[in-house]
Amino acid sequence: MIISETPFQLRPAGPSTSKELAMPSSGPPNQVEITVITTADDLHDTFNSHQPLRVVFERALTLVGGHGQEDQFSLVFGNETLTDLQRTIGDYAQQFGWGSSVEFELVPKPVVV
Amino acid sequence: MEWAKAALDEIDELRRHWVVRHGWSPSVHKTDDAIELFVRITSRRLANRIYVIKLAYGPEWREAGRREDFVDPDDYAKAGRDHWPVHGTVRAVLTNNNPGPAICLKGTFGYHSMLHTTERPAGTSLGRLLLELQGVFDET
Repeated sequence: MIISETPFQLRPAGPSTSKELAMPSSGPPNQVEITVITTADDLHDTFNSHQPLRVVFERALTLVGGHGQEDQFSLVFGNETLTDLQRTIGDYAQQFGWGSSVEFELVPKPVVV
Repeated sequence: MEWAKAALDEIDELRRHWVVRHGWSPSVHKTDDAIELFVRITSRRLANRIYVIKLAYGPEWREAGRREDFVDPDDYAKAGRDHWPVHGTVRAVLTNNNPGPAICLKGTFGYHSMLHTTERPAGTSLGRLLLELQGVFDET
């Protein structure tokens, strides 16, 4: 059998690992530039740190056609699943030491029935 | 062969981010009647053991699902139950299923043509299927 390494071109994406993109600062900035990597298009936008993380989650969900399927996806920072979507972006930024930009992943949860 | 082009297009759309993050190292093998995609899955759940899943796209793949099997990581020509995880160690991976082993995740042949035959795979994507599969291999 001949196994060929993918002859096709994989679509380029942003940074290849989920980690903060800037050095942590002493306090959360008022605006945070957020990238969410999904299985479809990525979300890139600037959010107010007073907004709940749910706003980011719901915007990312729309990109994968996941509207109404909130329980089937997780928002992940590095290896950390961000479970409390009511917390503000600034609150999380302080906890994890995010700078002015950060990258998340929108990961589907295995649906086993 | 329109079905084959659709299969290759789907594989082509697999995001590089996820490939790199999980070390999937995808490779494709074309036969006369199928497009076979091989993806390496490293299982945090099973002490970082490496499994290789083969997803075979046949002419009916959009109605029947992507036909799943596991192969020998050192010899992709060797496939079958011997290369599946031990039954019960990975959620949704049903090694002892009869008439054949199956993965109970949307998008596979096992799901749509063996386990849940009334549900069609329309709308499923390779990226989501692989991430869900990676998820069950990683969960503790």
